[in-house]
Amino acid sequence: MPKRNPLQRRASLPRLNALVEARVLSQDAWERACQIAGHTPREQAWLKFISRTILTLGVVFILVGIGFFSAYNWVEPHRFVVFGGIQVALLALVGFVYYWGIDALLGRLALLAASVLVGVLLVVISQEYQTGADDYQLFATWALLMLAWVLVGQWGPLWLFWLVVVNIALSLYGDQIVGSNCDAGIYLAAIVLNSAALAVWERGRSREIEWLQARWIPNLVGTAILVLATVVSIQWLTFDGYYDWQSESYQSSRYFALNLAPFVYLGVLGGVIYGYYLWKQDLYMLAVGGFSVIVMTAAVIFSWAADFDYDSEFGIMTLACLAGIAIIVETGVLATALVHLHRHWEDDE
Amino acid sequence: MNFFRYSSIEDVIEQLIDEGYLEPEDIDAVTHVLATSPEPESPAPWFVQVLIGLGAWLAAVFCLLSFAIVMGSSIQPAGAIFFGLMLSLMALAVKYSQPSDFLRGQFALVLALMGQIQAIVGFGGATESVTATLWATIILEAILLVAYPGLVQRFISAALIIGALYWLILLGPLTWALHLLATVLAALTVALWVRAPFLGDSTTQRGINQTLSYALPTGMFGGLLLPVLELHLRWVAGSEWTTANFDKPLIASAGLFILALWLIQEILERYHLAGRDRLVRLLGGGTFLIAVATVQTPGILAALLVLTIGFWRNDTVLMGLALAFMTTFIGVFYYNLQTTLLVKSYILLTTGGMLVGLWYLVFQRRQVIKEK
Repeated sequence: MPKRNPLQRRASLPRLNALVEARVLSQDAWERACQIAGHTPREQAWLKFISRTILTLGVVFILVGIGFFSAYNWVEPHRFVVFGGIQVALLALVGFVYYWGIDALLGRLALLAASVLVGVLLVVISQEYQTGADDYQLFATWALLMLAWVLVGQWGPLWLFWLVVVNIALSLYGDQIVGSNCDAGIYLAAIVLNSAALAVWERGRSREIEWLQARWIPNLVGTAILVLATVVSIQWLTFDGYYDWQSESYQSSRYFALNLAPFVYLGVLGGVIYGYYLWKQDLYMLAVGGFSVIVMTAAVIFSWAADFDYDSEFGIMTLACLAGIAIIVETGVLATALVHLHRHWEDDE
Repeated sequence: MNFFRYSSIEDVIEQLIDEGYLEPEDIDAVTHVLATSPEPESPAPWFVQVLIGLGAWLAAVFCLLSFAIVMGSSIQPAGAIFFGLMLSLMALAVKYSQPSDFLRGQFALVLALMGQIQAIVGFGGATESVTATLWATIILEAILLVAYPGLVQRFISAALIIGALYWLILLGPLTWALHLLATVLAALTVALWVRAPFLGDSTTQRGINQTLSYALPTGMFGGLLLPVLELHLRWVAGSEWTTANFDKPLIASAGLFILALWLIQEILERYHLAGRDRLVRLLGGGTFLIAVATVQTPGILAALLVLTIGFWRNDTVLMGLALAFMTTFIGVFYYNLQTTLLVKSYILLTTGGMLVGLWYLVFQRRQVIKEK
């Protein structure tokens, strides 16, 4: 097979760097070569970046300023002034969305700002009228009111913001209603909720829906799911009984939700492998899943310590050493596998 | 983010010749270099490096626990220093035996971490002096930064050197120098990235440059975050700490503003962007607005600076770092005690409104960006 002409190869960054190192290209020539090959932005991309940064920063400052203003808890103005101000701002933002359209960045930012203002309005209402409602009800109402805009807006950051509000509502429900007797139940509910959201996103992505093509949002949600699954599984491993406020007695056996934890963890891991190795290629999710396994290995080793006499230093020393060696081997093997996979997938592209 | 279009080396070289960057005779030299250089392998993604680092820390903690149990209270500070240095040397030997093997590299990294922790703690025990221990840390980490051929350990070394310098400043009388150091780190970050690629006369130099390209901005952000952590530091250092210890953030704000202006000028010159004078006024004005609004929290301007560099060099890790810290600094602005919440809200609303207005006047009215 004839050798490929080196000049016909792709102008990748490592190849351009090799030319600079060999003093064939000067610094200026390298800079220009990167622009030509697309490794650094061109004029229009720069102008877009500057435009979007100034606009986004301006909107974020305004939103945060409104948040600070409402948090100031100003008692002097009449409540209608405060309510009126927020509602006028809300109407103005909805007007902007209608004028600019949801396809334009300004329209989307205005929709996000309006969604935030809905929450601010609910907070001011709860401050002014002490109804005795729980905090989780505020966030749940906020999420419900925002939902239509999220569906219409078709914008990733807005969707993520809505998911964060829903998760806060769930967490507050766990704190205020369920209590510490069933921490695991809330974790599992959060895992199911976020997994459903992730599944919807990935399904949409596979159908080439444009606004669902970004990777950082599903990666963030996937990371959160793995963290939750790992934490609740460690809770299951290290369970040492709990005080049941309802029966006012100490319970030594695991409750139902906690018993589900290892199955849910294995299910999440299976989902990561199926979704990001067999179905789609996403090295980041595989790395996070792998690290979760490493953490669980250490937790399993130390859960055996529960069977040891705590006065036995030899036992603890052995476990610590074993855990350290296991982590070294696992991390080394995982890193090697990931890099190999990365290069293999790059060659396939 | 992908500006990439499929261009062959030939396409690029031809255009460089047309534009006068190269001579036609240089094609032979290009062909020779590409034919004789080994095909570069793509490096491990950033999250694999993070995974390696986290795994090494976890393993080092467990191994140290095991070591502490074995030695018990019998180990003396001098013994800890000796063992620590021996472990560090072992780590170097293991790493150099097979630099590209991940398993061996992981083992070496764990040994290095254990060695550093033991040596530093031992030195602290022997001298009972925080200042002396910090200087010993700086020396040890500087040696490892040069000698250890691994990105993760070099990053840890650079971060520890910067952290030790911050701590030394905080122990001294001139605590405002904290802001000066953060500004110097920002300037070094800009200088390093502007001169990309990260070249050097040797593999070691290139490796150090590559590490510093991320360690310097991280250290800068850490320093700018310290005043926000003032309450926690007070708990650590005692009741002598007051908010006055972190005054003069204007030093960092002014320094970062000057750097930002220089970077704007540099980018516009290199790119020969159309309407340069108007853009310089817009960007200079916008940067000034942001610098004034966030003078008490210069981290926001620093994050913008790093975000711009990351966009320029198409480095998503740097951009992610900038966005993460920008979010953090905007959030911690809430806790800044120099002004009331009401005044802060006015500042943000006014600045935000002016930025949106600036954007509308320049980009929307003048149709600067051609939509496809």
